[in-house]
Amino acid sequence: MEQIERYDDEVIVPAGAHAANAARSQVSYQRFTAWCAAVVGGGALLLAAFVAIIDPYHLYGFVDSTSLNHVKPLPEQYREQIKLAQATAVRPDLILLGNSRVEVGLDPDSPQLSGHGRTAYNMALAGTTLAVNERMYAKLRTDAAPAALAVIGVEFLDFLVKPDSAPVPAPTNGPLPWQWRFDTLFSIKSVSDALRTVRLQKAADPETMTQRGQTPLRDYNRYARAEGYYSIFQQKAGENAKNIVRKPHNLFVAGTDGSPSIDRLRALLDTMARDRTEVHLVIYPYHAQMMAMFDEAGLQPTMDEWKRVLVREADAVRGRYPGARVSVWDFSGYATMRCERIPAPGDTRTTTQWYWEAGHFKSALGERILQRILGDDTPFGVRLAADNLDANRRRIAAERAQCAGAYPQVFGGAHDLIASARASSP
Amino acid sequence: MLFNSFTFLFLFLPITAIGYFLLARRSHVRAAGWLALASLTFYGWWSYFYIPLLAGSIVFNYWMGQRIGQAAGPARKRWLTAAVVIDLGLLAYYKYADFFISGVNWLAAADIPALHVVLPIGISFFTFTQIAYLVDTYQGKVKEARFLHYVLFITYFPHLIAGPVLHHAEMMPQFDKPASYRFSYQNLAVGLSIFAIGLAKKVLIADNLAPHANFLFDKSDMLSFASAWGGVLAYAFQLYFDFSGYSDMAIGISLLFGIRLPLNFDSPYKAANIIDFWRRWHMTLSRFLRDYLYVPLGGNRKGPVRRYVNLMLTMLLGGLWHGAGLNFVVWGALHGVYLAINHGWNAVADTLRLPRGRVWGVFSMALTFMAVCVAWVFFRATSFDKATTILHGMAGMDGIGLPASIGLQLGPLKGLLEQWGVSFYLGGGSRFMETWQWVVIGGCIAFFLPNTQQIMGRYETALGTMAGPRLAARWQLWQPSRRWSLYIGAILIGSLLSLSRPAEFLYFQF
Repeated sequence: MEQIERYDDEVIVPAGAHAANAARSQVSYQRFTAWCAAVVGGGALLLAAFVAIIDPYHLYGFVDSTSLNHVKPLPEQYREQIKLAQATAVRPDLILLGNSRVEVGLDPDSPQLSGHGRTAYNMALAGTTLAVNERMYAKLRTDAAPAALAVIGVEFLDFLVKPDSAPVPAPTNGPLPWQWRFDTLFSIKSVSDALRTVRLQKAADPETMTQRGQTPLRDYNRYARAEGYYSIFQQKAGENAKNIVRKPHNLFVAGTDGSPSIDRLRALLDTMARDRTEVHLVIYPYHAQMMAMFDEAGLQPTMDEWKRVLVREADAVRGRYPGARVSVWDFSGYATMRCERIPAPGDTRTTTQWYWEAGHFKSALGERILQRILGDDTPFGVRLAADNLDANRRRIAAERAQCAGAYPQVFGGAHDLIASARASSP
Repeated sequence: MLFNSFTFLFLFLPITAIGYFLLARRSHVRAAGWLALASLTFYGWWSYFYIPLLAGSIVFNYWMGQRIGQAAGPARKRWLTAAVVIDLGLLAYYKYADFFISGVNWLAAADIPALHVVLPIGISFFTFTQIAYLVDTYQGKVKEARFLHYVLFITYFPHLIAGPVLHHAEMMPQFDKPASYRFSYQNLAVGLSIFAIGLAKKVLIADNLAPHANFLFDKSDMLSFASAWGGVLAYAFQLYFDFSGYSDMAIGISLLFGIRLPLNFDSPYKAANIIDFWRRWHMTLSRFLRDYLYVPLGGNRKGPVRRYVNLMLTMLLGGLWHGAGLNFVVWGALHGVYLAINHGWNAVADTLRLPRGRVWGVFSMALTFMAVCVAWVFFRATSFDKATTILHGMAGMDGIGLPASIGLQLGPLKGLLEQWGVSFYLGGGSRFMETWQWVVIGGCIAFFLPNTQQIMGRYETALGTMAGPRLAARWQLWQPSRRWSLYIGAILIGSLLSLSRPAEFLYFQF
């Protein structure tokens, strides 16, 4: 204090300030500090209470009002923890696992699922691999009964490895168990998400995550209205092309018939077999543009081999666990819905029925997948087995020829995108 | 432990402060010892592995300081030379061993394996502080010699990790003052307010700019004019608010203990020229380089040519101090060239008696800021090639592109822009908008608002002279009023809300 005051005396201050300073006693500084503490303490309590009541992540359930907080925003952080907490609360007997293609495209609130008496939860997470799915499922099993049915989306690109790649150790420094709870209650993100929740109630096409974990990409409707589907397809296709050209053309680590992804899949299948969970592995129905880019990048033979590996792993788990029920479904190809026409550049009126863009299908297509898995005898999707792999390959080749004939632009565009991505690749 | 963490704010700082003032009632020695112990704990929180290195460095330099002080004649210089060489040798080993090896490999086409030496955090700061102490001892400026105070002077946690670089003469008397050991609500209120402003600069501004700067330098391949400038400005303001926020926090925390640290920032982007910039940016490092490098090299005493050579050498070594890499050397060289041009221009302008009005002042400030931003590109880029690619973009040589989503909002103006050569690319609209929003916010605060010292202008809360005006406008001056408690409380809440994403300070890596 003396030091400050000593320098106060040396400081030139506005007229009258000296008298004010002299009158100012320790009491005013003490009062200032107390006020600060009250503002911080009171403000923190109020903000935490606001977040808890608005409940942007479906964690508390104090209030559910269509004018206040019924529609929730898509969380940007702690999605794994939030989904696990929600799934634990829902106690699903059908779980959906995979990456963004499942998270976006498969609707756990589908009437067909409830029609079959299923309570589903979409545990898929965008931008993640099977390692995350396996971790999430293991955590869920500690708090809830094993699911009777699991639909697992498997991503071809995630299985591509360099032959000399070393195993990547699992990350060990995740958030502390209490940290995510604290941050989802008291952080700038949780407060802004609570405010966003209130605003979302009046939004026409909100970016949202449902209570059952689906991210239906309704916000893409807004982009489509503003820029047209062509822009969305083209922008994503550019990103996909860059990703695809960087990928190796190989499934196995040198000297083995496995890879970290295959190991993860095997572990997940074994766990589910032990739990007597019926498993449906889903090869995604990529749009023809994406398939054509795989082809253009020379990945089609690797994709065929990958399907053979999936079938091999399904057979193996049935061998290890005779009661295991594992199916491999191939929804990839070029026919019908997957060869959906991309609206023309500048066309902001035409909408697509099946795809948001080449990598992500809409719930309408997801319904067809669920329909097939639940037992409907529709022509969409093939249940793969060792003895029909070659026939399936011929089917895809025939569909490709047909789609290329009807819609050559998509193949020309794929050629250009891959060439451009290769040219800009370091 | 980071200043911007719950552990520091709600555990370390209260325990340290309460323990300090309780012990100080009985014994100032115990209180100083407690503060030194707390500082070592603070340092060891990152890695206890390097505590022996820090302790060894302290004991070695204190002992060498005693030898220098007691020696006479040429022996004094020999002791000083030996100590500085050993200090710099240690710093060189930790900081430059791999840089040296890669240089030898490149020159001799050799294949000497890198040592992958991990840089102990804060080593640059505690080494420089101690070199200054040794030189001051040699020059007979050191009066206080108590070992405990010396330990506290080096380890004192508010400055240990990222500065400011301290002078023995300005700190030791403070550790000896009885007033430093008495709790004061005034120190608490003023220190807390400065700390809150610094914390807000870091977590509310710098950390929000960081992703946009990182995107340009680490991920983007879209380097059109606006996106390249957006990313570079984001970095320029990120670094500014990160470092000045840290410096404010250090000053504020130190004030809680009744100790004033030297001023390290004085609105450097408001500088009218590059000479002025270096009087305002990282002031304690500039002071160190001036007093212990530029002046011993001869400064401006040996003619204009040697002055420019000395400037260049000082800035090159200043650049190399920031990091062992070619980019830091280029950054230092650029500033050396800027300073030489500035001195040359001043001479010409004085000779011709050129008018320097208000418009000229604004132009000078803008030119200085642009020059600083160009140099920041080398400072931040991960490679020389990346830096030149970004500079290409900033020069408009990769075209003037804007996101298509922005073009849609422009209506008929879009067509006009296209005629002028502006292209519109898909994607990146949100990133572009957010980047520029934060750049504008950062720019407005940096250019148009008073700095922390000006806001606290009624109190001399830091050591050193400001280059700019000392006081803000009357309504912007802090006082212990209810209005200011609401402001400070509000920015504290905002900052606390942002602590869930702790990000390390940029200067920790130097």
